[in-house]
Amino acid sequence: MRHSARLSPVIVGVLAALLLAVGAAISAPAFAQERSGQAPASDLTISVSKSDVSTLTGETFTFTSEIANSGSSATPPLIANLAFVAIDHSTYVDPEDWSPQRTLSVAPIAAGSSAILTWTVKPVLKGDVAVYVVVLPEPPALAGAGPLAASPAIPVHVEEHRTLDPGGVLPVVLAVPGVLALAFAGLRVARSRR
Amino acid sequence: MTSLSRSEPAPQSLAPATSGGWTVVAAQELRDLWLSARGPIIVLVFSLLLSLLTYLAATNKELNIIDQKDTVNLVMQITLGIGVAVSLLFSADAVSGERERETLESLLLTPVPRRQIALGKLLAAASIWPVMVVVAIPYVWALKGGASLFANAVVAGFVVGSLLTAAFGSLGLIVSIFSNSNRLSLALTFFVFVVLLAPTQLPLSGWFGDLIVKINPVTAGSSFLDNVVVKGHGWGQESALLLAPVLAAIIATSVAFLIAGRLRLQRGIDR
Amino acid sequence: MDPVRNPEDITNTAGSVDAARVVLSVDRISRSFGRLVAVRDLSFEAAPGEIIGLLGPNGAGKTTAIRVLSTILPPTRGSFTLGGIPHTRPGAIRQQIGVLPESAGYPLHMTGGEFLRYHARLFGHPARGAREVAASLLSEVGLAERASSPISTYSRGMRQRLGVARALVNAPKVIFLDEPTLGLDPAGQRQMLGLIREIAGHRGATVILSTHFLDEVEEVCSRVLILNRGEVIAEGSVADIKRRAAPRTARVHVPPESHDVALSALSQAEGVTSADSIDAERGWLTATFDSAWLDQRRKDGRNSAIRALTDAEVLILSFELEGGRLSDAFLSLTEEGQK
Repeated sequence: MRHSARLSPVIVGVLAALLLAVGAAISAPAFAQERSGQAPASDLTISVSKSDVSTLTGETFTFTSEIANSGSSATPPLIANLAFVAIDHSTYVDPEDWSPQRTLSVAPIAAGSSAILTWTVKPVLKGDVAVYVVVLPEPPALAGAGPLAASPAIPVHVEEHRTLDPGGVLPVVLAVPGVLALAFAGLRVARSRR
Repeated sequence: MTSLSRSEPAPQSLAPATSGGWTVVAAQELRDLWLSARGPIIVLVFSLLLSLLTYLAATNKELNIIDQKDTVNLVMQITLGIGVAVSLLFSADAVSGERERETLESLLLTPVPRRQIALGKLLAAASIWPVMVVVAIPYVWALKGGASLFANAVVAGFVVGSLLTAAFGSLGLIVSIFSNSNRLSLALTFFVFVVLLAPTQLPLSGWFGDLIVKINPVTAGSSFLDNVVVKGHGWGQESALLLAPVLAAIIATSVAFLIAGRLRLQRGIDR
Repeated sequence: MDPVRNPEDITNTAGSVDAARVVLSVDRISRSFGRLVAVRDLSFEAAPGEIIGLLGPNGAGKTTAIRVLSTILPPTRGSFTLGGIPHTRPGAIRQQIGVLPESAGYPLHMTGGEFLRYHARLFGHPARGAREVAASLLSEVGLAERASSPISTYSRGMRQRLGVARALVNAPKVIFLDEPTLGLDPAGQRQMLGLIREIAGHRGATVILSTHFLDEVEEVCSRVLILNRGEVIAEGSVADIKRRAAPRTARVHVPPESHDVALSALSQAEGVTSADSIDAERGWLTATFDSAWLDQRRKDGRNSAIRALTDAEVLILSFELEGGRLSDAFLSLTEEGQK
């Protein structure tokens, strides 16, 4: 009875450390990742190769995005998504029409390394659009991943490109009805003469 | 003063046009259609429509709004719809139109069997279809889909369109035989075609949607063309979709020729 | 004597058809449309070169009869043969006949030449032969100069002539003409009747002419069938029907004071079946003659009536013979039929 009256200071210290560790594990998933060796999204920075673009409808332009891992461990596999936002509040942007590359997969980036992605954009409507890249971790790391990493937005100003001969079809478009009209007119004249 | 000279007796060897009568009827109907304004105007308007469509499609293709295969498919689908519809309207005029113009009796007084009269008229009405395909060819080529896409689209479109032309042309003839009014036979036949065409514009899914697509010869033919041209599927893979158009062509044509043999001056058939 | 009701009462004196020369033989043809009997028990025979008039009021069944005999309509009962071909072979029969239908329409966009060439080809002429036949026929009917004109520019008379030409395209044995002069002016009618005479005379074809114009029948027909309500009510030569079917009467004008004496004298005159007063105050009477007695006498019989009046010392102010026209016979027969 004399030994249980007071807890040993050593035991109290060990219990406190355990409690702290459990609490940290619950509240700080990054610590768990750190324990498995993966860098959080907050350690990723994305830069783009263009600051602004002026172009015409139908004209393709490309840019690169560099995803740098400034963390101390490698990232999980990532998904990079190309996003479009109409900043003139009127242009309708369907991402599928503007780029064949909606998303790209990125292999884990080692600590201190970077990955470079190339994007192709072909504006189909005139207007002002902001283009940027967002990076997400692939599942299962996506769950509880925290804020995503995003690149700066590239303002893209698109003017309408007018062509009289899209795809080179103009000669056929004009010639077929013309030839038919001439042929039938000729036939009528020949018949009326006969 | 008119007078009749003493005429030579009719040559005994005057072969009645019983076996080749349909060629005479077809030749005359083709002349009426293509040497008058009717056929040429229709084809010219069709080519203007295709010109507009092709220009717009090419513009959109430049912008990647639609794919190259989609543009080719679009041109062929439009050609199919218009070609079959126009053929159908001409065949619906075949008998009821003659009744209204009071020219049917003269035709029935010839020794040409009724079936051959009907066959000749049906062939002339169906001639619209291949002409429209020929007109569509330069447009399909101009969309620069490549030789294999071009050939596949044209051949598939021609096959589907021929089956549907046979089916609906025969339907038009059947309705025409039973109608005294040309307006009624044109309206009724066109209505049936539109009703069968409508599902191509609806999103059909599930087992019921699949069933509709497969049993309706128009949706089946359109889907066949779509899958072969756009999705690049093989003919064998999509052959089930040709079943409805083939059956429709066989059944409609058989019924048409069965009743054409009993064609009569007033609407209906001899019992 | 009753007007002729039974076709057998008329001996086919003018139209006696030698069995060996019969080109069209019709045996009790009937055609019904539901409960309506449009033609009932039509029977007759025709020889080459005859022009047989098919006479009757509207709705008598003339067009239906022609449509049955031209194979447009199948008979409900009965049979017929044409050129030895039974009616059960309509295609073969059509090869032997030509028809000008009553309501014949024409493809207005075609020229007259194109139209005839087309039908010549349908009847089996080869292409070159069809051109020659068409040119020849257009010339014969007086349309050679309009051969290249669209039918839409043809007058009614020209279209009828074109129709006749079409009916001749296969040099037929029998030609059916349904109301060929309908809508034509007198000159056009005259032309058409001339054509009909020449078709029968020069080509040796049998012509079945359906019409309700009695003067046409009198002018060109050798025999007449009178139809009423689908039945034949009289058949025979024009003269026979005029003689037998139409009662002959005389309209007599005498001084009013001689009226009664005249009435008595006429009643007793030979060949007079009855005498009646029309207007005693003014002296008008009528005498009806015995048709059979007239036939025997081969005279109009007025001599006996006049002799009776003169014997009775009655002054004859006027003596008019009435009746004896085909129109009288027609009206008499059809009115009887409607009673």
